[in-house]
Amino acid sequence: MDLLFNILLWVVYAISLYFSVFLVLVYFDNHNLFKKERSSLNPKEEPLVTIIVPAYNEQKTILKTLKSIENIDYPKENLEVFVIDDGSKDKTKEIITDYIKNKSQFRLISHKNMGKAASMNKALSKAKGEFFACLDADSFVDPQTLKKMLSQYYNEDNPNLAIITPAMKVDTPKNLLQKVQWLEYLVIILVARITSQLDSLYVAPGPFSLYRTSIIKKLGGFDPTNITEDQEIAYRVQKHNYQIKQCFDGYVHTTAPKKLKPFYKQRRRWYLGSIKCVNQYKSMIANKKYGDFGLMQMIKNVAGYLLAIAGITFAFYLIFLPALNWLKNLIMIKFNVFPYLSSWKLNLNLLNLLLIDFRKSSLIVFIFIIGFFLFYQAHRNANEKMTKAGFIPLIPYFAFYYLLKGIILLLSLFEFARGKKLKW
Amino acid sequence: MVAKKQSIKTERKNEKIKEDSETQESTFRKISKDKYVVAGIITLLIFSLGITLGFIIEDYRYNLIEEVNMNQDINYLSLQMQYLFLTSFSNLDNCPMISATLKAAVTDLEESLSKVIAYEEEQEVSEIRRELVMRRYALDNLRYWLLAVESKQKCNLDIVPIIYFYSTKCPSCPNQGTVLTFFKNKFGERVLVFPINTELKQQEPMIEIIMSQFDIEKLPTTIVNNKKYEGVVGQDQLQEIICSHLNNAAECQ
Repeated sequence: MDLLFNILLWVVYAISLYFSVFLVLVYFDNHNLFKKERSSLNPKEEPLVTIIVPAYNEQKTILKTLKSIENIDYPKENLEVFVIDDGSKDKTKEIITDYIKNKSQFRLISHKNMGKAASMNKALSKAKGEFFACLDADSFVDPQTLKKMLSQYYNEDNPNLAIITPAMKVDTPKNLLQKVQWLEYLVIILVARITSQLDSLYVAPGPFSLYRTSIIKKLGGFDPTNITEDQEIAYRVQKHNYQIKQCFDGYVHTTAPKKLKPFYKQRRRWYLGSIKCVNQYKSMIANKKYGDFGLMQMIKNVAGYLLAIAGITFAFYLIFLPALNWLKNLIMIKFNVFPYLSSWKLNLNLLNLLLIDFRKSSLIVFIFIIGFFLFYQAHRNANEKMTKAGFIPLIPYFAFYYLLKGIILLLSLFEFARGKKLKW
Repeated sequence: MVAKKQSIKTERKNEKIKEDSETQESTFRKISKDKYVVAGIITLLIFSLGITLGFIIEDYRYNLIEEVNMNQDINYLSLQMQYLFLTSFSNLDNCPMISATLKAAVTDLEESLSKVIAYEEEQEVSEIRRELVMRRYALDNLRYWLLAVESKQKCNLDIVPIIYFYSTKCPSCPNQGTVLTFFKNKFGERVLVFPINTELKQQEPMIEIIMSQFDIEKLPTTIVNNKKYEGVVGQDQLQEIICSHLNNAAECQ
């Protein structure tokens, strides 16, 4: 059992190290491009663009979302905005109606609650734009983002380019949980930029992904049965050999959950959705036909689940159980730690240092160095300073956050295995 | 309802077939084979670098452990000599001397050898080597205990020798260990704890002998001044026991 545990630990190290090294390699391969690349603000053409805003009980943020659309740097007559009230029970509908009065480019679609994907399909059937974007009603788009994305469409000049994804940032993080997510999203922007170079993006985030209308219509729109339709559409696009690219500086600001419970709910939906997508599109796993997407990304996604399971198991045996015993010990001595402190001397002799398991710790150090390197580059990539959110969020980010995410992923895997259905 | 569901299912199936027929040949897919290989090589390099450094350090470790063992032997010989000298000439003036040496030796045993033990348990060294080191540690503990008991009588030393029987498989043993460490820290060199791992009784007859001498059945068992206490002895109880054997300890008031 001990041997098996150790072998498994080494395998997990090896796999994590391999994936991180690969990511860094691709980064260095595109280092110069990443340094110089700037999105153009002058697209060759300015075609009609449809923006779809699905809203369900979003009275707090919808106004800010609509204002951000109003402020988009683009000719108003070439914008067509469908604001969907998906049977909201709060004041969302009133706020929308009030706001879009006398604004010809805005149109309200109101119906009984039918889910986000179905709502978007309804709007999509009416959309006349050559391109369309979705903007979740809790997100706010930068004025320049649309022009940047359109420029990219014309620069790439590939009729099979189906989706351009945004660079998502957390909108004005206030508490610790939001600040930690702020850091996480920055890293995601860089990782997505690297992934984009390999044509391996597998999510088209709900906030302001810009789609080529003809292709999405041809593929049948969004899947209303999927709980994360933004992942499903990306997998489907990949499956049909259309291209997805990231607009690395096309910023969108999204509202991140402030409390642990909504955070848990959001993540559970994401993870469960992604597990279902991987399961649905498992024919692409290790499929040479799909190039790097099949051989690297799909395998990495599956390995990610296994690594999370293994990681949590290790954390349980190496951290949780010893911590429990520690607590029991403290209770035994009635928390009277004073005698320990008084006789505790710092005997840092050579033998003490040598007791550290060098082989295991050197690998952990390496993985940590790579992680920190990407973390640092992620901040430069997104034009942010590391200290913007202060130093405090760095501690939970590096110490607990991945453990927390791992636990939620593990719970989602259990749920998936049990075959429970989850609704929006 | 069921029929409706089924119709949706077949509809979706049809759609899937339609979608598949629409799948086009890729125009942009590539396989970054070179990067897969280079990433593999770098991973391997990092691995082997770690392992090589590990081996170099291992070598240093063995040398250090040898040193610790030799040191322990010499210390014991010196102590034994002092004791012999004491008994042969019944020269009571040597008592403070022997007391000091004994205490220093026990502390040293605790500090250095227990670290060796921790190391041997941690590393996947050969079973035989580990067993030998553990037996040695147990024997060292026993002979110091014997010396402690004898010299306590002879010199009327103000010390409390405690033997503590445990096993790595016993769930509450770490707690007893913590309580004993607590008192070792609290009373300093006046409380001498000698831990004996009972799992070694098959290999080391001396452990078997001492276990039957005290009639050990339960774990953990603590023996203070030849009196047996079975199960986990709590903080308060142990404080009382230790204090009953010590003269005028400030910590007991």
